[in-house]
Amino acid sequence: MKKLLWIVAGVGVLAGIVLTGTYNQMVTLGESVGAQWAQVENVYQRRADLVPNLVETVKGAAKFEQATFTGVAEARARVGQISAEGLAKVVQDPAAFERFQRAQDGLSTALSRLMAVVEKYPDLKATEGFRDLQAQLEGTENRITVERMRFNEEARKFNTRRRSFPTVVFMGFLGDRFAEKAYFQAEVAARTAPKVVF
Amino acid sequence: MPARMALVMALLVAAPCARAADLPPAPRTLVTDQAGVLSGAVREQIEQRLAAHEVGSGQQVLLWIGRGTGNAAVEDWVARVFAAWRVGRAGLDDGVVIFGFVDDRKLRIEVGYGLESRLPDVTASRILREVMVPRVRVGDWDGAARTGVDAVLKVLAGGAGPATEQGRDRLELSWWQIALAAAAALLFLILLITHPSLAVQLLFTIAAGGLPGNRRSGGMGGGGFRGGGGRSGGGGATASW
Repeated sequence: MKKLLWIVAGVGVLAGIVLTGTYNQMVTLGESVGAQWAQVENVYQRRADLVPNLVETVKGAAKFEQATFTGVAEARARVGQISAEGLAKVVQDPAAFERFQRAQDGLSTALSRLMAVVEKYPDLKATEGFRDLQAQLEGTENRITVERMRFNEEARKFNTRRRSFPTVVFMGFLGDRFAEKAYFQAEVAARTAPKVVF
Repeated sequence: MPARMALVMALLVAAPCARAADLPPAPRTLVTDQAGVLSGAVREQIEQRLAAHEVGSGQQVLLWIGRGTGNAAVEDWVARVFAAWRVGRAGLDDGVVIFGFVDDRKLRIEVGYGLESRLPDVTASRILREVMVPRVRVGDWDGAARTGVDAVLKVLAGGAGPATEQGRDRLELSWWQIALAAAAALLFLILLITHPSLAVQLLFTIAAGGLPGNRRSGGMGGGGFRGGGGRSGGGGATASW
């Protein structure tokens, strides 16, 4: 009887150790995802900050493209709305994540339309001011790609750990605290990239 | 259905990692010319300049010329390579790599996180467009490399960072490191009293080999490159000709 008690106590202590280790590991991985999310937010914010300047510059030379400007302004407003909702919980909530991505992809599309319009105005394209803005926009879009990719990598680490044994056994007790992370999908626009004809 | 979606997602996410094997290994020198477009003298000259810059500022600046990036987009490929080589110092992320892809007809400057404000995209883009591309276009790779590196170094020299890795390390002794050093000193004193000859021998061993943790990060002074743990986030610019 006493022996059985010892075994039960031993198993209990062992389970406790494993549980603690797992929990701490999940916390660490969750923190990495959160940190990478902050990077993603930063680069998207950087792009949003760039938009007014870009639109102003293009507007000066291409007055008759009002529809394109309106499209960019609307897309940017939607991005702003999502940001106001509170970005911190976007990582936790797949639906909010989806909304965030859709808004940002909308701005991507609007901006690529704007840059396509510029092709019609060689004088504008040749100005130093526009070229600098273009360099900034390209750099920012590239940063977005990089940080999104890294976010997916961190989220994958988290989700893999979450789904593997024995972690998956404990996840039931912990509820939503360690919900699976959503991934960034390839942009719809990127999948059907418009061919640039020279 | 969710399981299948999860599998598809996992494949999508895992795909970029599978390509990591195609990346070139970290170079041993600051200047690498796999395409053979630089003359030996110029390569040596730039290597010296970059080595001197690293000694003076601690910043790692690399020039890497290759044939192309295969099927991968230049920016994507470069970001992965930068991460794999770990250019720049850990924590400071103060590395810059100037890439040239002869067959792809592309140039790229990739800037580490820590130097993004010193060398912003606009500046990188201007260096490529105004300094390097016109020379590459007429086949003058020597000139493009020399003037491009000069321009980048000039921009980076615009402000002073922490001079060397060691200067920085010295400031960062935490309390437990001090406690550890004190404990080691105490143990040594005890050893000195109980076994004097052994203690002296130990002292010589340490003095001759140096403690493993205190070695310099290599590659400094005599040229050569060893990644210091720096990262980049896609900052910089690309140009083609």
